[in-house]
This record gives sequence, structure tokens and C-alpha cells, in this order.
Amino acid sequence: MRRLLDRPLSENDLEENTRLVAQRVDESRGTDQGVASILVFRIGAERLALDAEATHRVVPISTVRRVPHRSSETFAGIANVGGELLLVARLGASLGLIAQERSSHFIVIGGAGARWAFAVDAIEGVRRVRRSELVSPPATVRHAVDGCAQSVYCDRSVEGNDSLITLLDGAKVCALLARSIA
Amino acid sequence: MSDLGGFSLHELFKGEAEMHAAALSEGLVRLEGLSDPATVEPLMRAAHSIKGAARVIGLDIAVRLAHAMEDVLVAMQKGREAIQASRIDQLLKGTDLLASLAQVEESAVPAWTAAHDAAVTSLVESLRVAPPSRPAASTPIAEVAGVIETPAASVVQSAHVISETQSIQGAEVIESSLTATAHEQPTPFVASSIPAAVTASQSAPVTPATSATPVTPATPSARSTAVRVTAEKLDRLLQLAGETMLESRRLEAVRTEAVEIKRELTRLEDELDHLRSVVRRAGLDASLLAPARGILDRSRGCVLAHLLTVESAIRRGEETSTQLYHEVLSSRMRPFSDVTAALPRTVRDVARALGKDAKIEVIGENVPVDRDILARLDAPLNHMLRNALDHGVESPEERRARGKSPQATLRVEARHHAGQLRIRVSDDGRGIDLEALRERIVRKQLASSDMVAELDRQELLEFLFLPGFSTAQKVTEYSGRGVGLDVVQTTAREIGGVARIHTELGQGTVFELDLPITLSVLRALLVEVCGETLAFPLARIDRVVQPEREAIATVAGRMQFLLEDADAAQSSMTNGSVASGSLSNAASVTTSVGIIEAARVLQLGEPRSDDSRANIVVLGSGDERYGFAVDGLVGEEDLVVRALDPRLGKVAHLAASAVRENGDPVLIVDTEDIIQSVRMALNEGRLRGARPALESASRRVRRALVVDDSATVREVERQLLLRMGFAVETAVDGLDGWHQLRDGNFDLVVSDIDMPRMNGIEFVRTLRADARFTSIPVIVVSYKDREEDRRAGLEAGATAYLTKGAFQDSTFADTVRDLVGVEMSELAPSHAPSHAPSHAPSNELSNAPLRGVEGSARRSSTEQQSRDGGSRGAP
Repeated sequence: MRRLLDRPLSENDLEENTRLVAQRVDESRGTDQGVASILVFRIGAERLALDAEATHRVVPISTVRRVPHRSSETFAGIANVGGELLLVARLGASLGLIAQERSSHFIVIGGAGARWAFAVDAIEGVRRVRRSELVSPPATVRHAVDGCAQSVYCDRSVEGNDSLITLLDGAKVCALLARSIA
Repeated sequence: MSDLGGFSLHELFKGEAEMHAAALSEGLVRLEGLSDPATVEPLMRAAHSIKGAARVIGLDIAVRLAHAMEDVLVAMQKGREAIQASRIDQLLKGTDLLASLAQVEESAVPAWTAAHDAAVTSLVESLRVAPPSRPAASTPIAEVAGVIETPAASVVQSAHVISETQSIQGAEVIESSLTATAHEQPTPFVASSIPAAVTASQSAPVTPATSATPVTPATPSARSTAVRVTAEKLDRLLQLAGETMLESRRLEAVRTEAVEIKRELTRLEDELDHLRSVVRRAGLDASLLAPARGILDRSRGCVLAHLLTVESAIRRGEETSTQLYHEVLSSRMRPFSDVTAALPRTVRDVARALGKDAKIEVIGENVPVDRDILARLDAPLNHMLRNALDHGVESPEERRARGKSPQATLRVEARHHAGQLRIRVSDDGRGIDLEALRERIVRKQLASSDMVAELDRQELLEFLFLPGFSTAQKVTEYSGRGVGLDVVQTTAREIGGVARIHTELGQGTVFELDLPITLSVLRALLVEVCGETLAFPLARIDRVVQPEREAIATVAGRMQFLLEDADAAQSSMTNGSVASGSLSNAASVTTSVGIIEAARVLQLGEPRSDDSRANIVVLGSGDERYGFAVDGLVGEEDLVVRALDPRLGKVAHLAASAVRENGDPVLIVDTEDIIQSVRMALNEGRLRGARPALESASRRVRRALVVDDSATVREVERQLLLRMGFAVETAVDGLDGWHQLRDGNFDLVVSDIDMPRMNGIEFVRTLRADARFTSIPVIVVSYKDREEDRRAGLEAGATAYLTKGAFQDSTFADTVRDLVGVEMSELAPSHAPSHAPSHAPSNELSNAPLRGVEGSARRSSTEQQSRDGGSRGAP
């Protein structure tokens, strides 16, 4: 059972789902104010999530070019994402997480002119969770992810440390990524 | 005409006229339907606004027309005139003319005016005369006009014009047709007047009547062919077109898969054959396998069909997308004449005002130029011509006395040269007196007389490009207005080109601009540095050589190798000459060229050196050539240039970014900038402007960073610091300053307070917060002289706070000396050693030897010179 749920989504499913949940929830799907769609992904050992509405695209990883004099621990460089050259930040490093293993996807966030891509190790998919299940993050987590944690969701289908999904605040993540080139 | 903070007044007029014309045309039609004088008011205002706007930019033709239209509208509003179709027709026609004028670029206005003057004049005339008293009469006229594609109004006006000039042939015919219709003749009779009207317009092709008639049909067609698209939209189209091209190439994978399936089917067939023999041997009926065989054949047929479909889809997709891509690209190109159309008028006006006689010749009007470049050429061209007329061209008497033709000739020339657009503006005037120029430089305290004496011709002429530097004895209306030739150089540099001046005393002066042909496509050499792909614009590369590593010597801590020049004289003149590399060539000259590792300059890591040959890209020209050691050569490619993300600020050594044909991102190197860095690193202390006495003593030129949003203040500070022996970098605001500060090893920062993006206070705070810059001297120079401002500056971390009056006396210079030390020759910095890393001397770069090649000064005779750039040309 768990394996089935944890199975990675195909590229198509992913794009489709991202698009679906990125849309405003329409009437037919039920506008349950108590439900949130979150995009769950992994960086290193950490399970993180962003409000799906805050994410712009999820695309497979492509070549990242370092930018001389700018690329750093937190700023990776530029990449071609759907014909657009985007700045790529290292969210993991910015959040103070352990170095990433092998990235699989870029998540693109931020509005026009302030768009960022960051690489994640894996995309788990979009989950619909009850807002009531989101609890404010414990101090340790708050600290660990550089003040970007909005809340924490406990995934009961998983046991142990892995059950914890930290929901990040999209605006704060954007601001954090912007600091990588300041 | 005139500029308003970079905004062309003409652009403003166009926008306004377009808006009001649209309102007019919509409102007039409504007015006709409603016949309500109350709806006239907004139309009156629209006409009035156009008139006002046209007057501001001196567009007389539009003023006249809008004025006449306004009068008619006022009469309608006051009830003095009935609202009738014929009148509305005239007004609509006027509106169309104004709308068409609103689409005309400033440079094309004279042409437009010439083409439409007659039409406007006759329309204005007919607007002035009272309308036909019987509204019914207008209808048949309109019908007649419709048939011969001439609106009623123009028939009326033609008749009017002609009745004024009675002698013109055909006038009577028209008059008679008019008379006929005006008498409310029944329709059949009106129809019979058509041939008469046609005869009239055909029989008198040169009369005002015919020159006036074609206006209306021409206007809508001109409008339908030009659609406004924003530059961003065009860029996005280009990106998508590029992406489409990539996508169609990705179909290749589908084809490969199909080929794979075909191969598997063949194996299946083999298996089936094998099975059949087994079945036979076992004495069973082999026909049992027939159905399987059938399926196999059908599958193979399907796969083959699929393969064909995919292959043709790939081919067509690639063709179409490539075509689309080039089409979008070429939509950015316009003929050079777009920018030269207005020049004859400018020259005529300026020459007359100055009491001179000059004509202009434009050569290369059809040369295609990127619209982005064209848009930037207007101001420099005007300045160069005005400058030539004001300073270069002598008075007719003086010219006669010198044995020249009293009429001077100015020549504006555009052509493609060595993959670049070369624009020359030349005059046959008096030329530039270098001695007078020297005196002026000294008088303006831009350099000492000793220094000026040493400057060569080209260096002297460079001073003409300094802001505020003008050889005019008095400021005239036409040149020397404070803004001047600096615009020429600034523009050239901003679009990635260079500006030069050639002059011969008594013979004339030539301004020469070498610019990229397009800003959107760049032929580039791709190289590899520390695993990254970087692009060098091909036009900026002198050549690429691959010498044996032993051929690279380290002399006095600098790496260098000997470069063969087939024809030194030529190669020193043209950047992009072809290197022959032939040692037997008697004319060949060897030059020692300093090498620097791209990896170190760009701070990308350690250079790779496992090949027996080094890969060296030679940049610059003549004596100023430097070699960049790169890890590998990837090849040449046409890149579609995209601006670097503005959030990165100006990144040292980088000009732009691009997406490669394979979809990978690539960064394009700013060759001028990188040469500048290398010059500093290699020719320590031998920088232009440094005092000779200090040069020998100082081991390293100190670097100052000037941060100010005013170009003038930056230049003043830069000059002052240059005179004190600093190498100076400038930044336009705090953020730019911060980026540059992190990249370079600076010894001094001079900053303004009020700046966009990041102000001086934030800038100083930010840099102080960084461990590397806790003790770098920072001088804040601001207009703000209140005590609290001073305190705010010092609290943020400024070392000294000066007001901009400090330039008048020696305060600024004294402060710099106090902070950085009087003797520039002293080795150790006078300030705290704790920030040593912040100015790890730039000679660190030059001291770094290319691994494994130290010592040997021997030059390999097999030195290879490849990629000489001979194939580089216009794309």
C-alpha cells in the first residue's frame, strides 16, 4: 500500500496535477475551505511541501550553468526551463538542509520578474490535506528551515521521522531565494 | 527633434494622436447616427488635443488639419452648421490622415508630409468652406465617388482646388459632374456622370486633383500591414520559436524508438522461423504458426508506416520551426534608411542656421540593421552631424580660400564589415587640431601637460568623447550643449560596439562606429571552462591558437607566448584579421601575448591542463591583445542573445545569456570587460592615467569603486581618482556597487547616498556586514549636508562623509590621501591588515602559472593556429 502511494508520478501526471491544483478550486470540485492542496517534495532527508497554488511549474531537471562571480552555495546559476532562462537557487542550502543527493526536478515559483527555480531530489505529488491537520511547526523545525516553515503536517501513512511534512510559506521561500543573489 | 529624458517627444505625440484619432473616428460615426450636437464636445476636445500636441513638436501639417477640423466641430456644436454625412466624411478623412500620421516614425515624417501635403491642404480648404446647403446632394456624390474609389469629400475638394486653378485640364468635366449632382438629378443621371469623373482623374495625372485623391485608399492598407508588437512579445515569440525547434528535434527520439521496434520485430521473425523448423522436425503442422506470422507482418507494416510518418513529421517540423525562427528573427531587421530619412533636413536646417553650406550623402540605405540598434542610432547620428557642421565644416568663404568647394559634403555610410555594422560619419572640413586639443585638455585639468605630451593621437581624440568636453569656443544651440559626443561613445558601448575618430588637419574628420549587426543573434565561439560552457562573440576574437604547453613561458610571473602575425600592420588595424600562422612567411612578426586563465578571471575554479596543448582565445587588437586559456573548444554557434536576468545586476565579465541549439543555457562573455580585467592584472601599474613616477614604484595599482547614479558625478570622481593613480570602476547604484565590490579587489569605495534600487546608506551597511569589507575605507559624497545626514552616513559605516562641494577644493583629494595613504608607492596598504583578503592583489592572477609549463621560454615551431576566424562574417 505504502509503495503504491509513494510511487513517483509520471511526468504527465505531474504536469497535469500541478496545473489542476494550481487553478483556483472550482465549484464542481467542492470549495472546501478546510482543504489545502500541497505539493510534497524531498530535499535530502527532508519532506517539504508548498501550497500548490504558490508553485508555477514542476519540470524535470535540466542543465544548470554557473554564473561567474554570482554562483554560490545558495545560488546555482541559470537553467533553460521551457524556453525561459530562469535563475536557479539551492533551496536546500538556503534552508540549511543537508546537501542534496541527485536532483530530479525543478519547482518554479514566484511571480513574473521574480521567478525562481529550485531543484528538489524527488517530487512525491500533490496531496489534499485538511487545514485542521496542519499544526504550527515546533520551534526546532521553525529554526531549522530558516523561518520559512508555515506549518507541519503529519503523514499518518508513514511512521517515524519521515511522517513529518514541513509546509513552507511560498512568499518567504521566494524572499529567501532572492537573498541568494543579493 | 528633441528628447525628453530619453523619451522622444515624437513618440509621445504618436501615442496621443493615435488615441484621439481613435476617439474621433468612433465619435464621428456615432454623431452621424445621432445628429446630436451634445456629443460633439468630446470630439472637439480630441481635435484640440491633437492640435496642441502637434504644435509642441512643430508638426505644422497636423496643426493645420486638426485646427480646421476643430473649427467645423465647434460650428456643429454651436448649431451654426448642420450635422450631415458629407461633412462627417470630410472629418473622418481628416481623422484617417491624423491616424496615419500617428503611425509614422519621426524620421519618416518629412516623407509623409511630402506625400500628403496636397491632400491635407485641399481637405483643409474644403473644411473651411461652408458645407453644401442641401444634405441630400451629398449622397449621390458619395455613390459616384464610391465607384471610382474616391470619397465624396475628395471629389468636392478636387473640384474646389480646380476651380481655383481654372487653367487645369479636366476641371470643367468635374465641375459639370458636380453641378449635375448638386441639382438633385435622379440616380440614372448620376450614374452617367461616372465616366466623366473617371476621365477627369485619368486625364490629368499631374494635377492637384489626382495627387489629392489617392490618399484615402492608401492609408488603410498601410495601416493593415503594420501592427505594433512590444519588444517583450517579440522576444517571447523568439523564445517559443526556439523552443519549437528544439521540440521538433526531440521527435528524433520517437523515431529511434520506432527503429528499435522494427529491429525487435526482425528478431521475432527469426524466432518464428526457428520455431517453424522445430515444429516441422517434430512432425507437426507448420501452418499452425501462420496466424502468428500474419500478425508479425502486419506489425511490421504498421511500424514501417509509423516510421515514415514520424520521419516526415520530423522533417516538416524542423523546416517549419526553423523558418518560423528565422522569420521572427528577421522581423527585427529594418533598413538603415529608417534612421537616415530625417538627416538631410537636419543638415539643411543646422547648416543654414550656422551660415554654412553643406550637403549630405547617405550610402547604404538598404543595409539591414537590427531595430534595437536603429532605435539607438538616432541621437548619435544627429550629434555627429551637428558636431561636424558646427566644428568641422568651415564657412563657405573659408572653404573657398582653402581651395575647397564652398559646399561641404557630409557623408553617412553604413555597411557590413567583418561581421559588424560599420557606420561612418565623415566631413571634408577643417579636421581636428591636435595641439589645440592638447591645450584644452590641460586647461580643463583633465590631465597634466606632461601626460598630454605623451598621449598619442588616438588617446587624445578619446578625450572628445568625455562628457562635457567640447572643442567649441562658445556653446551654441547646435552642439556643445553639455550633452554631445559622449552620447556617441556611450551608445556605441552600450550596444556592444566601439567608436573611433580619425582626423586629418585641413582634410576632415571621420567618426566611425563599429556595432553588432543585430543584438539578437550572435555568432559565438563556445568554450569550456571548469565544466561550464561560455561563449565568446566571434567578432571580438582575434584568433584561437593551440600552442604546445611548453611554448608558454612564465616571464616575471606572467605567462606569455609568442604569437605569429602574418601581417602585423593589418592585424593591428582590423580586429578579426586572418592569421596565416605560416612561419616561413617573411613578413610575419611575432608578438608576445600575455595569457591569463579564464577559469581564474571568472573565478570558476581550477583550470584543467591535462592536454598537451593549451587552448587560447586571443582577444583585443594590435598591442593590446591578451590570451585566455580555456579548458576546451566546443565549436561555433549562432546564439540568440538574451539579457541577463536583471536581478543579477551587472555581472563582471558577462554580457548576456543565451540558449544553445541543444537547449542548454550558455553565458556570453563581455570581452571588453574581461580585457580590462586582464590588462589590470597583467600590466600592473601601467595603466593609462597613472603617473609615471608612481608607476615604477608601485607594485600594484590601487582600485577604487565609484558608486553614484549621476553620470556626471561619476565621471568627475573617476577623473579625480585616475589622476591620483587609482584604477577606477564605476557603479550606477548601491546594488550594482555591491555586486562589483564583491567581484573586485578594491581599496577604496566612494559612494553617493540618494540612489535607486539600493541607496548609499543600505549599501554601506551591507558591505560593512560582510567580513571582507569591515575595514575598507568608504567615502560618502552627498548633496545632503545636514548634520543628521552626516551622522546617518557615518553610523552606517562610512569612513568619511563629504558634500559634493568637496570637488571644488582639495577636500576630496585630501581625504582620499588620508585614508589610503599619500604615497601610492608604498607597498602595504595603510589601513588595517585584517581585510587583506579584500584586496588580495590582482597580480595573484598573473602570478598563477599555467600548471606544468613554468620556466620554458621556448616556443614550439609547431604552434598551431586554428580557428582564425576567417569564416566569420555576417550571419
